[in-house]
Amino acid sequence: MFSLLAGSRSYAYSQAPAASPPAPTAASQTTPTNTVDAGVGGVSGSSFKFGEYNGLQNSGPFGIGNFDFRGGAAYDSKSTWRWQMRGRNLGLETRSLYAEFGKQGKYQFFLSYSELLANRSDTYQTPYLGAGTGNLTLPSNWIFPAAPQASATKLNFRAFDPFAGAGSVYNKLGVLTAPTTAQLATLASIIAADVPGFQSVYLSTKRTRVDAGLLYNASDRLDIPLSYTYEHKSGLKALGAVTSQVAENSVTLPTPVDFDTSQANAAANYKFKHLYLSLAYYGSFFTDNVSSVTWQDVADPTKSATLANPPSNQFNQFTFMAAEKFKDNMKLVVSGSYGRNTQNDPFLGPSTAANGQLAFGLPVPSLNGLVVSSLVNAKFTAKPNKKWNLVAAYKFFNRDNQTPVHTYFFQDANETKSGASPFAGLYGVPAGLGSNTNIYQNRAYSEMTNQADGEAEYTIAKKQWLKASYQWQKIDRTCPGSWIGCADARTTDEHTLGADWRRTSVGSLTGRVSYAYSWRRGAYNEDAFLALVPMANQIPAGGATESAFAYLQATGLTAYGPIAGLPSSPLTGNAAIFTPNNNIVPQSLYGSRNNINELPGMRRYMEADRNRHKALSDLDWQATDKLSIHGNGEYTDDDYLNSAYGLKKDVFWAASMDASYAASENLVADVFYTYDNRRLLTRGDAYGSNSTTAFVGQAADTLISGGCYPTVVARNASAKIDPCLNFSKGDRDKIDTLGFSLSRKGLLSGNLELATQVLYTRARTDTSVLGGSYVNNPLALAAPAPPLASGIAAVFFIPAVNYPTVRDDEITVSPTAQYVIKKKTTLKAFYQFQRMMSSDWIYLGMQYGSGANFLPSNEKAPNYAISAGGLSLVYAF
Amino acid sequence: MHKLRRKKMHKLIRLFLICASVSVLFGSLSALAQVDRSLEGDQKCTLCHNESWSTPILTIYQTKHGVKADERTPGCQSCHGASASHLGDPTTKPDVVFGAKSKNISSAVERNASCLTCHESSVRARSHWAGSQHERHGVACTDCHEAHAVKQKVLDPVTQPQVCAKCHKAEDAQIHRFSRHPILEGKVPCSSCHNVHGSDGPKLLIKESVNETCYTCHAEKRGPFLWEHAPVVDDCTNCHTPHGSNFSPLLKMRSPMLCQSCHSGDHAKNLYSGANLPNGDVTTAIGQIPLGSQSPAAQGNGRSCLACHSTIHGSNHPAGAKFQR
Repeated sequence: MFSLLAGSRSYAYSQAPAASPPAPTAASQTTPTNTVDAGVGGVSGSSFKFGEYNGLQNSGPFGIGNFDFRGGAAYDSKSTWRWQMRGRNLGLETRSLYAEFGKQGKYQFFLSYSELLANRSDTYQTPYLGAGTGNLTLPSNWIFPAAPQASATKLNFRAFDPFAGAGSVYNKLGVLTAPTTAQLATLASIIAADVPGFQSVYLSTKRTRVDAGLLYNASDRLDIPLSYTYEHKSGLKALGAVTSQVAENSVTLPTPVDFDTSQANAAANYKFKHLYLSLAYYGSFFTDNVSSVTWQDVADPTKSATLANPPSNQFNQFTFMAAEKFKDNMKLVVSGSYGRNTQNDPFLGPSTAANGQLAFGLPVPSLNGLVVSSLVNAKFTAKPNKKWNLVAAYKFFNRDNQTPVHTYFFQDANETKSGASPFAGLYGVPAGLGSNTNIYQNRAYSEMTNQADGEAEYTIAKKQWLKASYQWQKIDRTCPGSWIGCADARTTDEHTLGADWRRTSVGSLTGRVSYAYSWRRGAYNEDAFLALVPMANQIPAGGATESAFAYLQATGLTAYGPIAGLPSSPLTGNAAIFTPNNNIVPQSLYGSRNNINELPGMRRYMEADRNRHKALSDLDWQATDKLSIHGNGEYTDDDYLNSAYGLKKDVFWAASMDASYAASENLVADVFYTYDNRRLLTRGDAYGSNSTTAFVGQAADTLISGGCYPTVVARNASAKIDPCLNFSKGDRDKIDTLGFSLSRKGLLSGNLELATQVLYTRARTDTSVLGGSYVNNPLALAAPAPPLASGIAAVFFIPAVNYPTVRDDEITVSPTAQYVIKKKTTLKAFYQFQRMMSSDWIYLGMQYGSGANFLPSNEKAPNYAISAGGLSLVYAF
Repeated sequence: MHKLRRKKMHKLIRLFLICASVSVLFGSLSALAQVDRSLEGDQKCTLCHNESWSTPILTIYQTKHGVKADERTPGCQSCHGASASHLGDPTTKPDVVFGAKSKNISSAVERNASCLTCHESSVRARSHWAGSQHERHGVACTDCHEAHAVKQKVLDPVTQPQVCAKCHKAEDAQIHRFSRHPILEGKVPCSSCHNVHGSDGPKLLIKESVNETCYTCHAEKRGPFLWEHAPVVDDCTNCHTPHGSNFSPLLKMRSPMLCQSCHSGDHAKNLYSGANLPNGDVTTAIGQIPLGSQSPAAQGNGRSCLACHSTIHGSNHPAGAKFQR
């Protein structure tokens, strides 16, 4: 089959040489065959998704070019010289070339070139000019987009859609009012000026990679492998960028990708009897040629903002390994590594980060980042007798982040400084800091893992084994330089007990069943986030007698405050300052612009207590000489048992069946089916702030319809503990994958070979939401609007609804044919039909009129039916 | 006195080197010396197992195992055993049988022992094989490798996934999902991330951790960043599922659900309903008042959280602590 078919999401491939009816000879079996494959193909339509990785994204013709040349000394010669050259997909942007030569046992050299295209979107649109550069500008006639009937000063991207933009709004009198003629004219002028500016920008990235390597066999005991890889990645990808954090406005930018990565490997491998030693070096050097992207503000093109691209970085690592086989049945392998990851790109300074975000300067001009990683691994295996098989292993892995920690002052995106920070002028903090200025410290996350494994396998009968295993893993998380522990769980311990039964049998049944139970526990620290805000450890101005952290320590509270409603009597002293009305600790009291505390009982799942059940089963049945059936199942159940909020459950199971029937050597059919199912359950609480506020709009507008409280005052008094604000979300993936293949050889006197493959994937993701939100009645407005009529709710409790189902249906049919024209010439043909039907709200949300505060990009979910086919001649010599 | 000591020392070193050389020579050759690895030796087998055999046998001479001028090259009996009884009576089985469909197939341990004679430590050493997941589950080298084939499926990046999929069925299905790596195209074959012969890393990964494996292609994510995102530093698979997903880019869950698995403060605490999303249910208050102006929220629509928090893998911008810069 054509190799390019591999890029068309077909599910099975073969690189079978051209059909060769003549009887094989010793010479034909021992002499390399060179092949050249050339032809032409065509694609019926254009779709980035059809050509996502295979280079067939555009309709029209393309060239087919593959070759495979091999040569060198014959097997029975005195020479060990051999070489080969291969080329694949030469007519496409996924082409690759490979050359290798050497004297076997002495040296071997290889060189390869490869291109990899990743098509990302062919429907993306943007008004930004300068795509591909780090400076994106708006068209000169850009008009501030607003829906004037709602607000003339508030950004509203629904203005780009004539229908959504012209929607009626409730005016101050509570009357649903259509836009005026003047407002419609304003909308029309916005559409006329801004919408034509949206241009299509094809989003794709391409990697071009060169590999070179040498394996030098210095002696029969010493090998020296060397290799070097250079890769350039360039193109465009879409990236979100916030223009105003307060208003939560954002745009999607065509962000340039211009990366260079070099990787080098060198090793010396030495053998001495049963001892094997290896010392190796690995280096990886990443360079980002575009350090930042600056873009004009859609709300005010006189302003701009800057986004930092990933910084260049370097990684150098030395590894060693020693393996000793004491006897035939005992082996010890010890390995280790030491690596240094550095990064010291200059920071974007106050002048490049517009909007005054960095008005207070920088503590250092660059990070001087350093992460030292080290590994020690030891594994002992033994077979003391024919019955037992033992494994013991220990692993130590440490990511030691030695990056210096400093304090940084910054304003949120597009937010000017206001108020005065309670830390301004104190503790080395600049005097001019606003109450909305962030005072943050970087956290140098470090992680140290200790792991021990033990396993014993016992042969319980002929070709039957029973195995028991135990694993202990301890992870310590720290942040060197932080004023307080930064890890949600400073230490987690996980224990896993496993059992496994397997049986091999010849010609009939092979099976395996395994089960493992793990339990992970750790001490969770709900105030770990305070490591980000050093002012939490300082006493703020304004009457407090202790720091926020000291207050929390003294009271045993988290920054969430008491799990309580409005206090029966007003709080006093530090309580009134740090947890006013029993609410969360005010953000300014720890130098943050956001409430960064989490809910008590919220556990981040990667560190949360967890019980895990994991089971696997596998069955292989060679029913007859012609029929084999293989089935397997997989089940994982993660229960985050002590997490009141956050991810609670993650359950995955999959079942597969594969049947293969070989009617003869020339006729083989295979069918497989896999069903995947994954369920995730997350819980949350959209708590509010306790208050004495008794109405919405006007004094008489006090009633609530639905929810847990009848009146606004009752709800607000318990806003932090309102049970109606608890919610859960359940995600469920259900995916069916069905494949079928049939191959028939030996037709037309052995000259024709036919094959076909069919693959169908049906994927569904449902997100169910249980809970609801309070929504103010749009008619409950302040005077001069009239108060609501008696009995009319001022607030509605609106139950949440499920998300639209994310769908993906895909079918691929790929018949192929090979016909031997002459002994050395074969005609190959392929055809592929692929239909994709997908629907995803992430794409639907990006259309004109869907979102008010994020710039539409009009990207569409891929839906297509495309055929591709080709003919080529293979010449073998 | 000093000279004498030096002479003694030199003698001792020489003696040690000679002993070591002899032992190494003996050790390395002893295994091969037991069988005749020459073409003449092979003829004991190839007289019958010749070019007319049902599966190609002689093609091994096109492979690295057939370069007879390389003194390390094995003969038939190096791998299949001396098979004395089989030579005398072809109806009996050879010492080591590799054929997957043969009723006489040898155990995985026996088959692997043949390969490990050379490959455990001397030629393309597989030092981590012993005790590796594959070894412990009874996988044999020849379950994946076809030693006689000129073009082994498992060594071709395009066909390699087929070989792995023989056992890894769930992963085989996952690599056909909407969001995936270019595994089927042979650009990121299984061996780009996994060293099936054993490794220092989890899940037989080529590097010692998940992240270091990912960085071999995604070096821009390595940092260290000024503002690190803890789950990113911990393990890429906290959020990504590398074999395939319904959501680009290889996400376990769609945002905002993914983000709300860990975040419950500020606007991450809110319930984002699917109400009024395109293609979703329309919600109104008392059946009359449309809530279109209030929902869907930006966090539950389009790119949701990532519309603003786009530098989620880490930011090096001094104002990027919230992964917005």
